[in-house]
Amino acid sequence: MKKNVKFGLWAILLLVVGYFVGALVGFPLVEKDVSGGDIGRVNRYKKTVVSEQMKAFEEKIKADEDFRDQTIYSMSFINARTMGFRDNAQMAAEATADIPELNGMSKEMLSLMEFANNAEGSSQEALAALEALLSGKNVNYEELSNNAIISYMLLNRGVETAKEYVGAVDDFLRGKKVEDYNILAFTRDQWASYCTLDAIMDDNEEDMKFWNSKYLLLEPEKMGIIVTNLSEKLQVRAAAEAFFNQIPLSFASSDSKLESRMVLGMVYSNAQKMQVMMLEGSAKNFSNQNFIQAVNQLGVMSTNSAMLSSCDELCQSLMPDACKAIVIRSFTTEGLQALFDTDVFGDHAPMQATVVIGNQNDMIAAQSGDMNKSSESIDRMLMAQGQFLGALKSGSGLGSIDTDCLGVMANCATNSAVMQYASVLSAGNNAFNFNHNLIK
Amino acid sequence: MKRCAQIVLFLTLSLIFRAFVPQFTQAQTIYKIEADDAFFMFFDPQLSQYMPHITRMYQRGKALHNQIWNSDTLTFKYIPQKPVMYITDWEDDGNAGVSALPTTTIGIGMAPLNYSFFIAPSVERYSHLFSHEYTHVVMADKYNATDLGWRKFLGTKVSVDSRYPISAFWSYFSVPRWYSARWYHEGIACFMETWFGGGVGRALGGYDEMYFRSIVNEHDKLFSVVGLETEGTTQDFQVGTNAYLYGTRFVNYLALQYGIDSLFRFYNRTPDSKRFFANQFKNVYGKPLRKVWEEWKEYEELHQKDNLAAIEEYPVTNVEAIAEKPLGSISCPLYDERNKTLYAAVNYPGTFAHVVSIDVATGKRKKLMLVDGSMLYQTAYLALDKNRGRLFITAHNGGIRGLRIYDLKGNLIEKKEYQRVSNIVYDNARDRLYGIFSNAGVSHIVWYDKDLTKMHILYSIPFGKSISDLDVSHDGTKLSVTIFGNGGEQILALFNVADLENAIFSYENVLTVDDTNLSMFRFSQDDASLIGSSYYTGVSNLWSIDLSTKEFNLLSNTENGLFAPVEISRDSLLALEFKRDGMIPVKLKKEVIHDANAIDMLGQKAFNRNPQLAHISELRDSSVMDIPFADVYNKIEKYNSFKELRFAGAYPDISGFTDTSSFNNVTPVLGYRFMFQDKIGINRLNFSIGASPWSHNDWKHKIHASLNWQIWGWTLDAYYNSVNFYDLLGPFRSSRKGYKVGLSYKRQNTLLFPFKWDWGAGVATYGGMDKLPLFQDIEVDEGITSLQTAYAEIGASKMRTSLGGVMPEQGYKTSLQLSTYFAGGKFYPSAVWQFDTGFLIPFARNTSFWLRSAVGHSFGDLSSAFGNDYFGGFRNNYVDCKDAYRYREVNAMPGARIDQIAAHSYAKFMGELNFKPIRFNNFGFLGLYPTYAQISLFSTDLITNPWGAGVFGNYVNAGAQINIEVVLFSYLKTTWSVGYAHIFKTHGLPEVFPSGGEWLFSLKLL
Repeated sequence: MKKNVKFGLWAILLLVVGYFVGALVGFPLVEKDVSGGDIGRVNRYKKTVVSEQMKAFEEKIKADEDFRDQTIYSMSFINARTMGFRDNAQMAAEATADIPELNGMSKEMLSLMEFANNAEGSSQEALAALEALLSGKNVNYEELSNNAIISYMLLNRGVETAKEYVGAVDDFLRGKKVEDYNILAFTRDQWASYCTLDAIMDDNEEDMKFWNSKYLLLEPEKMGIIVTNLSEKLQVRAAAEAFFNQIPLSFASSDSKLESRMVLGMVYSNAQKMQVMMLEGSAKNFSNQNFIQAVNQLGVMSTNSAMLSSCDELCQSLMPDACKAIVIRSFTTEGLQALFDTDVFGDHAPMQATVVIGNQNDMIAAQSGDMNKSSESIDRMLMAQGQFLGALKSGSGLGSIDTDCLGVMANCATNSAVMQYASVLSAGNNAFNFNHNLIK
Repeated sequence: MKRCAQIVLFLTLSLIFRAFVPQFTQAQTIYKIEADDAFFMFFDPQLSQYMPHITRMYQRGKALHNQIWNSDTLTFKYIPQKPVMYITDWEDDGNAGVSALPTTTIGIGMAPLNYSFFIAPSVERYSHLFSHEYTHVVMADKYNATDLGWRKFLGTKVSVDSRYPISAFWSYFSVPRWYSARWYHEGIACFMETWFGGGVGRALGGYDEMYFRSIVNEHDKLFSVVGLETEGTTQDFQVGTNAYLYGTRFVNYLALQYGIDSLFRFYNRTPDSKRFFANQFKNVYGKPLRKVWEEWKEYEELHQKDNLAAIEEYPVTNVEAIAEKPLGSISCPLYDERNKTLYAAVNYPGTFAHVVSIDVATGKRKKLMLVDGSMLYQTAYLALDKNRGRLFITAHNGGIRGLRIYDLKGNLIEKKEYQRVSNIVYDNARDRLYGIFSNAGVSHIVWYDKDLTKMHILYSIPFGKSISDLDVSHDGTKLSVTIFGNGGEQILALFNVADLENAIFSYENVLTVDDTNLSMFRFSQDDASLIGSSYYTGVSNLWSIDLSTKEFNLLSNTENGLFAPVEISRDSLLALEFKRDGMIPVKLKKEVIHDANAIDMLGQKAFNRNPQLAHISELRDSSVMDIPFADVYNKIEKYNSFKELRFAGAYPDISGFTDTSSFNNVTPVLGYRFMFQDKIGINRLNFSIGASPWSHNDWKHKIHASLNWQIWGWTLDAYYNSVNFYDLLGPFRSSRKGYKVGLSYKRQNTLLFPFKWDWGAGVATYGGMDKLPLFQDIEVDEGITSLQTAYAEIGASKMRTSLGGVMPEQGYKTSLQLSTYFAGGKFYPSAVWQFDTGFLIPFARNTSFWLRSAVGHSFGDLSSAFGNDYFGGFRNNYVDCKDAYRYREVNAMPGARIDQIAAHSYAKFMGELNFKPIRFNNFGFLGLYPTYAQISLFSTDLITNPWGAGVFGNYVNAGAQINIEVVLFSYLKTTWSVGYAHIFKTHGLPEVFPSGGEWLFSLKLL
């Protein structure tokens, strides 16, 4: 073989051997982690040693009764406010959709809706987690609670939009008859009420003065009529809104503000789509036939005899798929019995029902600060509640009731936290007058 | 006498009443939890729910340590002292510390840890902190029979009190290992934290590896074991942290070379161990510490050379330095593409921490403004509003952060204090400032509008996790952040801002890593990727992550380390390169690199040699952590510092008392000192009794007693024939015949450091005196043996010291004191106003010039001793405990005798030039070494009675003082001072004051 050919073959052989040797050199001292190339990953010992789940917040809720109550109250309040915000946005969007001059506001409200739905979702999630936590389940409440609280804080930006809305509606209605635009006026009043409370809670003097200067357009009586015509998807808290209307704006002392918060807590509490309303049986509102008629989603009925007949009318006007809930409030079990005896709802059974039972004296006792008396009253209320629920379950009451709803209601009804509200709020709160401050 | 007794009774009852009624005494409510083996305290009820978790982590740390250090229990059982733990939220960045004297105390800062440059890797932070801090507890608190004997004799672990220097001896005998070098303590603590953390800690940290690699790479020296204490912990740009770096490194080396059994024997205070740590080293390793330290240095050199060779196997990334020298600690740089300028907060020796602008093209630097309260490593956080030309800077970074807004010329626009926000970034698209808000142990992503009117929370991190390195995309739609989990894992998370604002609280997990870091990631110019740094290969290189494909690409192969990249064009980046003397901003090409070698870590080598380290994080009895929440939570009570007062030890003492017939006008006094204290030292009571039967004084001056009771800001001070150790080594004497009872209050505010302000007031009654309380050579007026005094004072200061400085070098200090004597039925009020101001001499590192002035006036009778102030002398004793620079005091006038010059009113001015300290390197012994020598020159002009009554006088002196600091046993610092001052003859004045000189020889103890 020629010398240079031999040389060439040897060179190739050496190259090949050298290549393989080169590839082996350094192995296994350096770990080659090929990620798009030849990049060595440093050899470093690692072992997971700490695995304790952080549940400090959740544990505190379970261990500290006062903190638990505060948490329930505040989360329920947040839940109610986010729901109210969402409802206001939706109602306003629909009310202005067909008014060309207010189309811009309709779009604003629709954009708020998206956020509002998410915010409500967060608060619902948190509230559900709280209920699960209190039921003994292992849930990540802290993070959901953070999200709900931030959602609530984000609602603030709706206040500016609400101001714009109120101003726009006021401008539109100037020179026109409010009665011709009842729905619009109603939505405007809803926002005004919402923001008024916001200003009070934030201790925002400037905003409080602003809203105080904005009188409500509608009388409470008119609210019922308005509600009748509203979209079936809406959840109307007419009585609660009426209540909000009555809050005096002259709250200056922190005690007064506390009072309003506590009252709000009584208005909105507990979970899911339930709203336990403890309302004074004000003849002014509950005798208003139109007002009662207007409640097709979530309404308030009083079971005095005049009201019972209204129930019939009311339920006949209900559409099954629109009826979300009916709140039935009775001062007497006799009244409730009367309710059992009438086929009030006929074929239009509500999808869920919330019941608060108690007689006038029991309610007063609950507020009296006399813990013995109030706890007896609460027991009595619970017992009556149990009877009512039993009747419902057995089918002798309100016709077919959604079982899930019933379960939730039962939870609501027997939730000690709910009842603790009464005792917590009544004990020592001399300034709070249940009968007078709610609805005048 | 009766009136004096009434006053005494009133003052005492007043203090007792205040002590029993906490709301009058306690500045705030403190909560406590008394567990079987620990005592927890915290100050904020919001933190209550975290106490059970902290308790569990403490139990874990303690149990793990007991498994190692308490294994020698066959012959002698060590029972750890029940530690006092105080949990605070006083800083925005979490930290912790331990003291062993007089009780074991662990302070835990609740806030999330600072992960700048990923210097201190950690798992769940409380587990990490206890793994580290409990090491210090054991190292100091663990005793053998000898130590225990001393503790029993003294009744406590004695804490050094410079007023009673003999306490230093008792302290050393009772807690000898406390007096070991800082690197000794921090080294083993970092080592233990790492292995207790499953490999997460400084012993396996990329930053430490990089630091030593840079020294070898730049052919610089590694400090010797003594040089580390003198030069290394004071001169380097990372002052204070070299103890951690060197300590961890050396301990790793010992474990690698000699195994962990020897290491543990070195550190463990077993019955047969030596008291002094260096002696114990030789006892275990058979070689002197210094020699093995030198061995390690040689090994380190080789180890790093191997690593550098591995890195250089592939092409090393070329970088172009933008500055002409390293700039010490630097913040994440900000780049303004409009004027090609880089902004950063820097801190390097020779100047104060400040913000600088750098022209990227020319490298020209311009100092913009000082940083108020810089932090280590990153100096401060910065954000740039390009729309309005504003810079946002965090202030008071070592405490509760505030914000400063400046224009780009350095003019202050606004200050907002107490914001608690870090990691700030400015969204120029939507005119918002984003940041991370830290409060009560949790972090939140927040934003402000452009005027910073209100903080809005966008997202809250659940307790236990930490976040850092926030950035906002250029279009303002996204936020990126690194989330640190409990197991040491890191998540690079991407938030959609619109989602967060619409109450959708989720984030995209861009990348999760378990055994490395993801630091300082920022959006590329087109927001399509994130660019940051990681120790993936063991070296901090730059990486990019494509946000759509999630490709993780290497962008550099560097020898030292690169950090904080920012894309300045499609193909180039700015970054910080680590150098021996600090970070330097550099420019480099942006290109994906496909080949790079990993390095070997010294800590990993140590682990490979000692695989049993994998098991030391396993609890033999895991039930120690099974502590039900309610068991801790339901034990929370309020803490009363008065009711917690307990006996805290006693020891014999020697001091001096005035005796004009004895040598140096002083007679020795033998006595005993008793200490009482509550758990955290808020309530402290010391009293002593003594006798000097051999003195020439009459019998009633041969008995001595004193009481000092401090509770919160209040002090009750009483004595009968007061004594002072340093009077034995006069000429300055503090001891006085007679009695005194005084009550005072002092309050200091340091939340806005470096700005501080304080105020105080006090009243006192004296009786049986022969000399004025404050002026040793001035006799009281005839017929007066008792008097009362009252004072009120207020002061403020804002002073800065640059790296390597030994005293304040710039700033101001001012105070106003109003006081009065009431003697012989007359008042003698006086007022003194002081103002000092100084500045750093340009181009002369650590050299400063100060102008100190004082103006005073006495309103009382000029002819009375009480109606004047008195000046004279350096006022140092031959052995002293007070400041070495006493010539700066108002009443000092070196060259004249003590109290020689009287003035009814006065004005005093001093010019003082303080030269840079000269550091000693590797000079001395492990237990005794000088750290620096420093010289000051001064000249004073004292004008007496420039207005009003009294003889006008003008006294001028000039002098110099040299101070040398010498350290014993690491923590006992002494200052040796030599000085001379000459006072010049006065001319043209009614009274000729002769010229004369005064020498100063003084040793300041402790």
